[in-house]
Amino acid sequence: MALALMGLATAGCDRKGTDLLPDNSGFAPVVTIGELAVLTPQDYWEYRNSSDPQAWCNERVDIDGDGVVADDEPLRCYYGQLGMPEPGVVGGSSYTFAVPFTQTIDGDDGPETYEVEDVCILVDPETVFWNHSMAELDRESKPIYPDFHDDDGDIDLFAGMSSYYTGSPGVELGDFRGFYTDSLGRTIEIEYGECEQRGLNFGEHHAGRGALEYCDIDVEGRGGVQFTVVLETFSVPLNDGALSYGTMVFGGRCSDLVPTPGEELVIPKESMDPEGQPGSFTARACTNNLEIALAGGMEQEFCCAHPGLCSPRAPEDSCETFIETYDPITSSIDAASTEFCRQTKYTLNGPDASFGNRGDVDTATLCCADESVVPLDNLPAHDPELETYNVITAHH
Amino acid sequence: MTTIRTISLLVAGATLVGCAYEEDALEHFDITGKVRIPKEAAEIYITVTDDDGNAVDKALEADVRNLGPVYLGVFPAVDESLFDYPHPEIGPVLSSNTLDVYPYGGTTVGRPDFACYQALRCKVTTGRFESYDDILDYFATELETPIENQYGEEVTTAAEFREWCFETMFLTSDDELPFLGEVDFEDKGDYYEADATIYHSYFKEDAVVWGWMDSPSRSFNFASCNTDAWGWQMNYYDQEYQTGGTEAGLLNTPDNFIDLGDWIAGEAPSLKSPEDNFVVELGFHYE
Repeated sequence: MALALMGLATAGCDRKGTDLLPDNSGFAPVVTIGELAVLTPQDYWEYRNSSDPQAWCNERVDIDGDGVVADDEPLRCYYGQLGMPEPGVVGGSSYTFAVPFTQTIDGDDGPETYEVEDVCILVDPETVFWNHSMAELDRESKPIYPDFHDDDGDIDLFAGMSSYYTGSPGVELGDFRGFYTDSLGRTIEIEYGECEQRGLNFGEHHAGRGALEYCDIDVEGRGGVQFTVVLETFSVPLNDGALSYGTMVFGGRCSDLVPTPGEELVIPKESMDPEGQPGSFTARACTNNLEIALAGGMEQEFCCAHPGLCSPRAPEDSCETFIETYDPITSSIDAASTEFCRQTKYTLNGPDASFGNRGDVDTATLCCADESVVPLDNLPAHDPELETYNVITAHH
Repeated sequence: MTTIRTISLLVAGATLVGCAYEEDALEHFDITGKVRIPKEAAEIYITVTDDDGNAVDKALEADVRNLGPVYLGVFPAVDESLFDYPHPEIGPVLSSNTLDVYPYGGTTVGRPDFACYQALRCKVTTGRFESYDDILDYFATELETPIENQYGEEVTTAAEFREWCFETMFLTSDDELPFLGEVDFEDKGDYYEADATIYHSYFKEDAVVWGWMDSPSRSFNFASCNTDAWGWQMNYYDQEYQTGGTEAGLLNTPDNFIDLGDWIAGEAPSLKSPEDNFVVELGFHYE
């Protein structure tokens, strides 16, 4: 009897749980991206004003200046998707970049050339995340719309000089750990990685799920030196088994680029669906609006008006405050959503904007027709003399 | 029954044998020795204000209170290839911020300590002053910058000094204040000498002991101490400031902190055994 029970117990352990995970066989778990360019502030401005950032990134840069863009020249930046690696395998992607000696942008009096002293490396895994705090101190006591965890991925960022990289591109990811032997023969392990992300305490830090990771690297006097960036898969979203992300290298300091709040807008539209050819993607509908909502601290309201983009396991009273705010008279979720969509806008650069010349700033409703609970075609008009908007600054 | 008892005793005995840990197998030792600093290093210049309000130089005679903190370490070797003074062998250099010398161990002979008043942050080193009066006299008479209390009034008595320390830091005894007590250095004629112990240092034959003294600047500041980033936060009524403390990486990246005027070990004694009593003389004046 005891033996039989033991046998049953042993058989019960023979379960990996992988049947609960989506099929991700269509997505490679270890990817070599190749080489990326180091973007100038002007490049980044164009990127942020592009309606299709994935396509913008997919263009190659004439890095040698011969007037011909060859296939071996670097991409501007990169959007991609990663699958889940086999157990015991470190998954992720890697790419290289060469430090430019100088960069040139359009100035008021013609081209301006400057030396590159720092680069900022960034990666943004899909999609967004907010904390549903249960802590005793400063806890959020009102009903809250929880983040949808199943669409969140997490990538850890590492970077260092390529000469110290231990990985084999396309085969396995490596790291930047090496060994130094002093003159008495003592061997010391050294971390040659230079991508230090600061947290509250000493030691290695990484951002959590769905959050932008970035770090500065001091490249003064290191023009022409090649660096390798490693994007290590930490977790793959459970909803589709594909970890979408965007990444880039910017010539300057991260503090020039990353606003707080608003990190989610630095690399927008990184939540993607595959389209046609392998490596071709389209931004998942309305996720950019969700990013803008989070950047503006309006994710709670946005989720009430777009429940399909947010957690399906939200408590029933999650939107009580939303309804009280936007439709206190009839307490209708549709009426509240309509009013929210009418009142809440985000900014975007107007058609006359150019690098260094902001021009007029336009606004658009934060709500997204594809996922909104109410139609947006005929939102009630407003009187700007009498009403104020909730406006989220989203233009660059 | 006897057999079971015997087996139990044997098992217990075997377990005890397993606990017989040989500490001799450790590669880390307490390494002891002496540090010598030429009297000349204690003859310093500071800037004071004369009766007409002009900034003028003032020479201070050799005094152990003029000595700054001393940082000592055990290193694989010393060379002079990267800087104009003898410095520990440096590991791979990736940038100006990565000059790690990978020390085997280290210690201080006097370290910057917070001496209760905001004006004294990073200006008082342990093992240099015997008493409150000693500090009051030094700052008022030698440095000509009397210590001021929270109201901007001069602190003139040891009783006030002590009371303020006890009140703001919730202390009950002078023993809790490391900046008071026995002076580290002994006057040996041409030089000062102090005992030093480098606790729990990795040892390898031919390792060397090297160090430097962070000499005070003309405004009596020390490059190895930082009043903004280090120390703890004083929060006592309107007294809100960082108390200051030693920089991080003093032994790992000493070259980031050594500056003109410091006194450095010109020759680093090598150790054949961890029992060797080293004598390291900070005889190289970096100027």
